[in-house]
Amino acid sequence: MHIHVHHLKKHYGRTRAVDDVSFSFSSGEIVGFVGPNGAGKSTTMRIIATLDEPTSGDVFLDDLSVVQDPDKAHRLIGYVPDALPSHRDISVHEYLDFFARAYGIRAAARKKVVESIEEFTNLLGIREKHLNALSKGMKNRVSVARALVHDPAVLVMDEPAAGLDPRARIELRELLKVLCGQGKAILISSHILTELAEICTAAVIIERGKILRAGSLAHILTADKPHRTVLIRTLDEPELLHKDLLLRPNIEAARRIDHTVEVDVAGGEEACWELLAHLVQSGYRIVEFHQQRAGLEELFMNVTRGEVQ
Amino acid sequence: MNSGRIADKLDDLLNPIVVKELRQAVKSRIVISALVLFLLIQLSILLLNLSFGGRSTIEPFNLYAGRDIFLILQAILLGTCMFLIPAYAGVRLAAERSDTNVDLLFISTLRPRSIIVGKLQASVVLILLIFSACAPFMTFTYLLRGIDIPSIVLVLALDFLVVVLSTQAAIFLGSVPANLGLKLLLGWVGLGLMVALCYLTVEFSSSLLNYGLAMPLDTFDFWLYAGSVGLAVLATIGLLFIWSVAIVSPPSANRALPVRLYVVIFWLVTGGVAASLTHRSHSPIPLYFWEWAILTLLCAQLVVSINEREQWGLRIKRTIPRQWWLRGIMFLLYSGSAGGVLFAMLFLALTIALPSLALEFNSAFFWSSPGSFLLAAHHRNTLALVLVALYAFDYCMLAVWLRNLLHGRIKAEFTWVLALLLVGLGTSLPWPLLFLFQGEELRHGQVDPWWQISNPLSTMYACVFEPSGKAEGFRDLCLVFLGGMGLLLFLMCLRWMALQVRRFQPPGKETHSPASGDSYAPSALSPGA
Repeated sequence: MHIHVHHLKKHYGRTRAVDDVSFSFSSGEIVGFVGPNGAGKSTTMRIIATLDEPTSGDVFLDDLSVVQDPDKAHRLIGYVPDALPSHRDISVHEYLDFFARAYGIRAAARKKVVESIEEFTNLLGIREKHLNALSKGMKNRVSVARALVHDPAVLVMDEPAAGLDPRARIELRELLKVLCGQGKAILISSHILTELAEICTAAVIIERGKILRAGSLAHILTADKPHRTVLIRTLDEPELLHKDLLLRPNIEAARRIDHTVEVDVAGGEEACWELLAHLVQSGYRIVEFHQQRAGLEELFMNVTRGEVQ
Repeated sequence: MNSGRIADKLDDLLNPIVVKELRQAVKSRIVISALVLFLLIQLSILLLNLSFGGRSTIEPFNLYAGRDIFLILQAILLGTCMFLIPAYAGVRLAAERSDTNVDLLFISTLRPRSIIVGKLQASVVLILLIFSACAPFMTFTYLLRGIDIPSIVLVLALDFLVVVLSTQAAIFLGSVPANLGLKLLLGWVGLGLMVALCYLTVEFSSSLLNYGLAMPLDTFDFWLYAGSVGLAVLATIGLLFIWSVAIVSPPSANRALPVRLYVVIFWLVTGGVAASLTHRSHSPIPLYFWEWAILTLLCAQLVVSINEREQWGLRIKRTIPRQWWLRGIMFLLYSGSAGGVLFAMLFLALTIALPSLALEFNSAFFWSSPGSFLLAAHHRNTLALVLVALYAFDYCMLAVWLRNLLHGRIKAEFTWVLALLLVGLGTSLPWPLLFLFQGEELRHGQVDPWWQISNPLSTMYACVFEPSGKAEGFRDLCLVFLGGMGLLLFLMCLRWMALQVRRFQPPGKETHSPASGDSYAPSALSPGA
């Protein structure tokens, strides 16, 4: 399935919560949706989940418009909101059974569906526990299970990792990887950028309702950089390597850090390969040649200004 | 087909909300404790009355023991049902509205109607549970004399209707999206209404059992009046239901359409029933009751309408008819501020004008022997209706005009607050002015009513209840003034209305899916692209 967010706008009076946002992703991808508070992430996600209507623009699930056919879109989208389930006097199993009923899953299949979801999300052991007696991590699993109960092709997750302990976060990460492997298209927003960077195949950075960066993770992390930073470790004298590197034409800067040399190479991947080939041909005993990538966190800090509307 | 498959089929027919609500109810300590306590109290009352009741009286046997105990049991039943079930249903829904639970229901295949139906059905099951628990005690009172089976059935049927009405009212109040303060306020309003309704029902059933009905059960008139009351209660439950559905519907939905369609049907059916009761009883009371009930409803509709949307999203636009005449009708019925105001004003005018015209052309319809006193009373009633309608319109339009003047500094959804503030200001501001400039006249009760023209209550008193010749002159001028103000405000808001009429068009061209196969294209997605 191909999800295309198409020139989406959402205005509240004079406030432009979402201002001409366009991006797309497909099945088997996990897209990180990143931005400061009030950037328009939740609004965009709510529009994709059919909970809000855009001022203009649309979201297409293949050829299906979520604006024009929200009822059909409901069956294709699983939505995990930022709030965790808080119903009283209801067990995990009853809660999931209720949503299975709400999605119109027939009695004959319902029991099997709910049990398989409980097994998949590791909830079998706590299925008879009341929701309000669960920890945040467990509630989070229930929330994901609820969103999966009708086997949607697209999963929209708004801050699912907020407030989770490290163990629950790791479990969530692993769950997302499995879902991605199953071919689900996942859009996830989070403020924990290091974790997003580990699981996402692509990212969209948004601020004040506008997209600042969007694309595959590899692309957006390197797109703006005029040079590549490479870390080189050799068994030879690093000072010698340092001096030699400074003489090369496409080297912008070189710094010695203990036994390694950090070099800013002008150009792209080709220039890095040329440098490595030159060093090997020159007889340097290279044991490490590592291209340093800016993290999502660094990129986020560079491109956003922390402004809210 | 084996029994398992039949059970599955039946299970599929159940509303998921009912299943969830009942599962939660049977696990809820509050519900279980209340039910057990209720049974214990009923049993204790019965035992205490059987043991000690009537012993202190002069007569060896209390011939009305059954009736007396029935009334006590009924008060307990009503008290339990009217405070427990509505509070349970209303508070739960209000709590669910405060987080994203309702959002989650919207993105399932459940419709908002199913959500409210489910809530009401689950509550009705609980009501039936409590009723069936008390039924043995209540029917046992028949054996103690002083009450007959038809009276028991009639009172229980009335109680059931009233409890369902209260529950639906609580669901409606619970569905209003509000902050904690407003929710508490609504809770207190709801509690006040429940207490009043409970008291009225107990009083009515008490007088019914003590003095009997004015007519025998096997007459047409009895069933006409009983049916009319039942219909009025059911219609009100329906109205509250439709309002609740509209409130829990997503903002992008055409929320007002079912409400306004229902109001049209409500207006026609209840108007027809009121007219036929008036004709049969030769008393205008049913029609007056209808007029005031509809007036209240339409004034509320007016206040709600001024907060509604002024432009329509794609989901609604797609359903706007292309024919101009049909679009004109739909403009009044669809969600929309100007359409809502025009709809309310149209039906307010019809509600006031039709009974007046009927009186002009066929006074025998109202009274068997019309006299000048009755005619004057009818005119006073019509005048009061016109005044309320004009004040409601003037204040609402003034609020809209002021809001437009402030260029969006006040959000459309808060126009009702502005209207209420204006009413409060209009009602209270004349008093300090009177103290300052008309102190002497105020002491002698000879204040010129024009000083209080912005105060609806004072004007109403001066026009309707003050039977002096001076009031007559004021009355005519007052109507001209308020009507003129209404017209002026209408003209001042004409641009606002015209803009909405222009916007109320089907979409020009459909949005199409972007070219298929348009894969992830980072270059096309960079800012400024």
